[in-house]
Amino acid sequence: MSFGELGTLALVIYLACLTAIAEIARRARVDTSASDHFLAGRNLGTMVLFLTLYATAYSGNSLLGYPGRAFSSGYSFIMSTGFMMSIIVVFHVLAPKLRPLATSHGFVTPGDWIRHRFGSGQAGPERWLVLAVGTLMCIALMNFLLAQLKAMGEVASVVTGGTVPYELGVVGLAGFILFYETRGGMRAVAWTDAAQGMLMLVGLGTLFAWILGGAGGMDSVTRAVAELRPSAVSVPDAIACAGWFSTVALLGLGSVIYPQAIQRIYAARNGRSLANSFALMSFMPLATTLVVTLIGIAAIPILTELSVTESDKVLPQLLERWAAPGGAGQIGAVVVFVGALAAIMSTADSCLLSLGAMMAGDLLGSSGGDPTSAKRGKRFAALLLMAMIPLALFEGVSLWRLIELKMELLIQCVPAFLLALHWRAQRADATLAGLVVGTLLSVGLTFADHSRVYGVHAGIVGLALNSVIVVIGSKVLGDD
Amino acid sequence: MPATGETGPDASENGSGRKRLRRTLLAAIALLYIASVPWYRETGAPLQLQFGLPDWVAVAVGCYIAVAILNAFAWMLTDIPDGAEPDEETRPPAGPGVDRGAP
Repeated sequence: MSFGELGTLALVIYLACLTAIAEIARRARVDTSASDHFLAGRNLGTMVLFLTLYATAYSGNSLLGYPGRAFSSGYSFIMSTGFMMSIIVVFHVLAPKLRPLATSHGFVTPGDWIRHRFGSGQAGPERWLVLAVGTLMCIALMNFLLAQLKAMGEVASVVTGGTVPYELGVVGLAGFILFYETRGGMRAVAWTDAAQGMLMLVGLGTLFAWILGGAGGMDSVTRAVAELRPSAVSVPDAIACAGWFSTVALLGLGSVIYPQAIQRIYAARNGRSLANSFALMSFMPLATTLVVTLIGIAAIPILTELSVTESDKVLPQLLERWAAPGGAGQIGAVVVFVGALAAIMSTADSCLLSLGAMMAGDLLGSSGGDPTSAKRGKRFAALLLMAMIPLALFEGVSLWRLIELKMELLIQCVPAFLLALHWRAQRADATLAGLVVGTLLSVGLTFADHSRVYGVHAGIVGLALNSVIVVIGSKVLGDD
Repeated sequence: MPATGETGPDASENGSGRKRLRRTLLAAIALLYIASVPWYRETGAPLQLQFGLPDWVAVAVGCYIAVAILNAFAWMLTDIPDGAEPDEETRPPAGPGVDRGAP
């Protein structure tokens, strides 16, 4: 059996499993409320919650992009393990305060927290703040979703040896996500995420074992890398160290307020399940990000003909070499590809579910818990996906700059969550002013080719100004 | 978090002890993050291997392993209540809110 035939068979089996899970999830539905559809009736236990957090946090980029980044940057990309771990650390600031309020007041969307904290005026700064936060989050999610759709098409084409062309991969798999998401809601998404999370772990573990076995251990790998590219093993300079700290802060602060992450805090069965899931998640950067980083570095002496500008091809080329002799290597390469596809689909389905909920509840509705918002959310999810598929089909569409901006935009929402949860005197008007100024500064710096200032991300510079405005504004206006 | 049924000064002392320990763990995590970045090392220093990795990478990985363990322990000590106490509400008194009651 050829690699393409084996890959097509694996893809069919995988999709059949997803269909069965969606059907079981639909039958497990308690009612047709927004809470049941978007939050699985707030009944996710420790293991499912842990695996859905894992599969959602580790996107296709983590599997396909990070080995390439490590290949081009060298050992300094070890920072990726730190920034993925910082997300679980920063959750200490958010989850213990937000979760009890969410259960007491029935939050469904991130905007429900903003309305609860600042009031739900229909025309004042409170309403504008809900809209501004919702808009930034939706833009970030749409960019993220677009990147996943493109990656889905590419991986489906590679794993089936071209039997499923790029265009069919995008349309077919997007339709599939829409099917199981609208059919089973968060329950289907969480259960499929759990299956996808396990597939990712198995795929990565086997690939790393094959590479290390062939190279003769990490010691030999590092010595070979030092000989071929000394800069890849040298101590980073001061600017790179500043960038390391900045990346940890950007990813740690920005990722905890991803809408899909916030909704998983709402969806936990109880506080203990949530805390246990986070305790397990603490180890996943070591099992995943560290492994893909070392895979990328180990590829330096293997793929000597590949230039650093072609780093996106690192994982596909490694898998091609693994599969070439056939047998166990071929099966392993198919498992990694299907694992990558699973990672991409699990991130895309969570983005789509959150986008539907936020469009229906925060941007075009009065609250995420509105009884009609489940039905409207499904419609918005379908419309959004249909609108994004044509963009994903044109591989030449240059939206990558916006994708780069995603985290810089999202991080400007941090004061509305992390600070507002802990500081009673914070005001809606000051928070709105900080968010607008911080966003304009970070976007302006990025488009003026200053995406880093002395190694620090434009988003972090924007957040610093944003926070100063929030604090001074709340203190000055609060005294009136 | 006190065990079920445990009340009185012992439970409160136990609870505050856990909170203190959790804060200490989080402070230690912050220090480990500072130590993980090789800002204190000289650029261009000769390569030295530890566990098959450049020594500054081995330090970073060691710090991250320690962070994972301490963070997991801190989460085990974290008590996340399933309902908000009135004095935990962060909403200012004047805010109308969107209180829809428990689901």
